[in-house]
Amino acid sequence: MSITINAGRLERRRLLPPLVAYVLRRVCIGFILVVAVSILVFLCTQALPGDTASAIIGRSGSEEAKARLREQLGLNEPLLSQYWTWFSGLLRGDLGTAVGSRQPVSEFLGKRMPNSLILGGLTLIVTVPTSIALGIWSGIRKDRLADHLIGGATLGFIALPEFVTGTFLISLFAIRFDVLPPISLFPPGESPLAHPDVLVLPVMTLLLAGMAYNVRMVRAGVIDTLDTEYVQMARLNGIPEQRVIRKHVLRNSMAPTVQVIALTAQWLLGGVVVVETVFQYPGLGDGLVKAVAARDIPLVQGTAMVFAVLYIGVNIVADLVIVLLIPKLRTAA
Amino acid sequence: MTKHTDPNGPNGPQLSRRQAIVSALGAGFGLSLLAACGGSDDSGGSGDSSPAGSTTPSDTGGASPASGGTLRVAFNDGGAQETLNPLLLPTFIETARAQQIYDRLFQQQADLSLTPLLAESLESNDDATVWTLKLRQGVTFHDGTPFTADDVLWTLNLVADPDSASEAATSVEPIDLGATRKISDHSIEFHLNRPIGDFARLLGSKALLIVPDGQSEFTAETANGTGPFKLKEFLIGERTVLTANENYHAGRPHVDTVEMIQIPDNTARFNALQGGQVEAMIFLEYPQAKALEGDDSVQLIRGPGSVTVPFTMRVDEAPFNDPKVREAFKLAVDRQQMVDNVLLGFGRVGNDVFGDGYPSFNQSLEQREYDPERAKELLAEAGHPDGLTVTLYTSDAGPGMKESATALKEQASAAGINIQIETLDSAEYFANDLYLSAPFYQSFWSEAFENVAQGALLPDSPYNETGWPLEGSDWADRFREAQGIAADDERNAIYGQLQEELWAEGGYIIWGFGDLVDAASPKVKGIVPNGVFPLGHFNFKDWSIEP
Repeated sequence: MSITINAGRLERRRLLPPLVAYVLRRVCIGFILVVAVSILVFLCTQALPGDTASAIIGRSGSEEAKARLREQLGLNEPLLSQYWTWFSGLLRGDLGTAVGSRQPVSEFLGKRMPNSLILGGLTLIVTVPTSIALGIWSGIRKDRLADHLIGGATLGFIALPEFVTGTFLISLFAIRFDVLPPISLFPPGESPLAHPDVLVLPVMTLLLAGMAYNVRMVRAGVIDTLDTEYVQMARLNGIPEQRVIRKHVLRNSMAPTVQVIALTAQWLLGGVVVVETVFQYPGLGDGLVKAVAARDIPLVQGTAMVFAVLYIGVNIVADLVIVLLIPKLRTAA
Repeated sequence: MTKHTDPNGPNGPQLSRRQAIVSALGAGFGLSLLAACGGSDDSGGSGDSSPAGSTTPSDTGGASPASGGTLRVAFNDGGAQETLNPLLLPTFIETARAQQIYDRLFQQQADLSLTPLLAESLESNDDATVWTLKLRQGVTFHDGTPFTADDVLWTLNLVADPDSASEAATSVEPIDLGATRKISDHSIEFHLNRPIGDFARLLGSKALLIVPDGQSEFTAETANGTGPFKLKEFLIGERTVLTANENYHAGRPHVDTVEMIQIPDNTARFNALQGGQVEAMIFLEYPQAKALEGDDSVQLIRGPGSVTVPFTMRVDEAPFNDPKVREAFKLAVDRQQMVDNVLLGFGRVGNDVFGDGYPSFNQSLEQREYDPERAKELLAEAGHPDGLTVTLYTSDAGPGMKESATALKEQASAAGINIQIETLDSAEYFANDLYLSAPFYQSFWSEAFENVAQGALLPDSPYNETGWPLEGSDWADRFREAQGIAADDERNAIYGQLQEELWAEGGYIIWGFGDLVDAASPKVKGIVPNGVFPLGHFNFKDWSIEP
């Protein structure tokens, strides 16, 4: 970092309240990241094997037809100009038009995003309290049977890929016991909330696959707190253990909670891709896989950008919340 | 499978590269992908040869089938690019859907023969250049309009228009549409540009579905055919709902509603069937099918497919320009082991000629067996006493391609043949410069001999992969001559001779034919497996659901 930038920062700090400056800075960095990601996404989609025009037309298509389509799609333009056309569209909120359906990419995303947000949101609602509860229990029962059971089970599931867990749950609940639908089929255009049964297995899969890390973080927080001198002091003062845990341990080991939520949210962005595919859940992840399969580059790019923006956004919000909760970080910023 | 350029042959289901990729992803790559392909549409006329291989017919038990209910069928393909245009049928779901809404003039049966559907009869003059088609009377479109010769002529003209980009264009190419005329409301006199003996086959081609006179835009609102089901709802890439056509001319369908649901992922599709969310599904992976043999909770629909992924040797390129080398390579393949390991037994051994199951297939040829010793001798005679090294380009572009290439490397080594495998990208496999130029490659066909010949075995064939016919041979002329013979037996006899020459000297190593395997709930009755199209040629009107 050069001096000038530091000087600039100092100046800004004088002009703006530190928190606002912090947020601004994070948003600016976030924006730079989005630009970087957009370059990466663009280059990656260019590197996808196969020529889009050929993929659309197929082996039977004539060379002329392919050439015409390439022209239409702007595939003959230099790479840089293709990128600029696409990126400037992004800035205006225009994600382009899907090659296959000839519908705006935003329409495709608009239909699928709510479904993914519902799946992700529900998972978050279930995962966070479960992880915290199990983490605390595991922490205060450190090295006892409950701790080993929780640790073993959650680590077991994190070791399994989501599609294995998902398939296992399907064979158990949908095929063996026939109590839940194996895949998330519901009439297109309707909300999954109108068909809650289709959400159970995907949420359960994400819960099992994502919980271990969170549980271990909370457990570590609890164990650290239990080891602190003030807890020792409270115990020595004869305060009942129940009360020690409730009043001192829990409150102080809650700091990682926000991180747990943020980490879960970030992890979910990747997890939904696999889980949505396993359950054919009509969300963004499933859409992304289908778009890649169809070589629908604008759709792939648009979806990847949405994932990137969500990921960066979640990070910024999480950092902000942590800074709000832990005042000493504010000055460090 | 997209090599349909046969002006004499209808188009098979086109597995476009896009579709191939989708299927590949769905099938999780690999040999299970075998199931992800179809056959070509049509049979060679009214031949009486029955398809080879075993089938798993589901009987209706003699009792009259149960009526009513909703039949839900899961498909693997389609997606954002699909349309309701019955002239363009690149995917299985589009083919299946169009076939419910529209009818063909001739319809293919399970034994690959053709029976009239909207047609009543078809007769020719002596030299097979003028044909009289009589149409079925009393047929109406879904909107009540009567079906007449005008609809047929309109459809043919629409298909012939290059702007329509119809897959069936090659089928109507031999028709002189200027001279072809309507005789009455229910008969048409066709004039052909050259003699075509098997004209019914052209008229029964896959994408020649009859649309109403004057209609050239095909949307959910305008869908109007004479078929067994009416379109009720169409959600692109998601699902299609069809309701029974009460007035269907060939009898009302047994079920009230058909729902086609798109589930590209193979495992998810199978889970949906097991969980009772659908009654039938397209394409079961071979390993799954293997595991389900003998399990009565699932009904396997096993059609003796004509799909093959042959090795291609260019007869005009070294080292394959020596017939002894070609013969040696053909003997260096353990066909049974290929069928067992690559197709997991869901197929039949091939004998280096195309179209097993079709009437034109020459069954009388001596079956080539694995004989590495003889292959070695032949190579020595051809001047390769120390064996030979060749490069084989392979990819995942077709079902079982990569697996068979790997198996060949192993099997051929016993004959002193050292095969170096180069893997190419599947999306580019049939589009790069190596295809049609590399001496040793692979291909993907499912059509009858005469259709493959048109696409790949004539000097002007667009996909001439092997450089066939041999220099100085009149093979191509004799093939064209045979095409003009109206009598099936006579024509097929000549096709048989042409196949024998291909068997003896040609550049194709056709080691086997894969089956089409689908699955249905045991409650579904009336499914007759078909080797050309999955799900019993999508003949949903004959299916019923037991309560």
